[in-house]
Amino acid sequence: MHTHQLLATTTSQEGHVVTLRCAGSAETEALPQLRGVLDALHERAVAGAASEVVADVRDLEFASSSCLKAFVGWLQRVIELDEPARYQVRFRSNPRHSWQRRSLGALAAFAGDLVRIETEAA
Amino acid sequence: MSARHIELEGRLSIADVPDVRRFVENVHHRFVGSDDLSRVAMTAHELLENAVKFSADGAARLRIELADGEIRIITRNRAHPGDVEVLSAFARRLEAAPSAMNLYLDLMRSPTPTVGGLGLGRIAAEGEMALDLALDGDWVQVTAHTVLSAA
Repeated sequence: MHTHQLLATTTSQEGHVVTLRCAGSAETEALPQLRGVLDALHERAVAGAASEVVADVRDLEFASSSCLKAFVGWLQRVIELDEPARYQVRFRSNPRHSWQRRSLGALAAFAGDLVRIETEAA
Repeated sequence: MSARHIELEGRLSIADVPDVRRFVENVHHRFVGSDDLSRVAMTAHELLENAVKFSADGAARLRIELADGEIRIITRNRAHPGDVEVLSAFARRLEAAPSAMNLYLDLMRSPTPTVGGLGLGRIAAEGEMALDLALDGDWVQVTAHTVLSAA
């Protein structure tokens, strides 16, 4: 029996900033869901000429390597956009989830200047 | 602190792995600092998920040993010959890599999935764990170990 919350996501937009909120746990079983969410997020950001996407993962308790790879795939698609269409990505992280510092640091190393990480005060 | 260990063995599914990760966290939170606990839980998750995913007979074993400020996380499973060879190649690649993070970023960039490679790369880079791979016929044993910073 699995009683913990699986991945829950919501997407919203205000002006040229699209926000994705992820909560629960991004387990490997949630990979198809996460891929779908990130595909839709990217399409929305491009169609809406977004300047920035905020990925708020403060309530995400864990992400498996398979799900991290889905984030990598998304960032790769942003990198591949022509300059006028490319948007910035800002991760909002939670210092109480230690894995986020390590995993988001790796994503930032992968994506370079595209990604910023914002950590809320502990 | 005296030496202690836990061991789990059985036919598991991928869906069981998060529960095992939480069990590992619950068992170790009194003995391991929070940042180390996060590394240990992630490592147990990634190793066990690989063991389950690539088990030739559906069975996998997880053992965690804690002693003298060090922790060892060990998985053991039978594997298909092709997967054993890919794992061996990964071990050679890890040994030759300039750094664990360098290899991890290469694995992220790779469009071709490797057999458990990203999870192992994550353990080495994010988890800052040393990885040992032991092969005995179709048996695969992977050990991740590190000195704890706040045991």
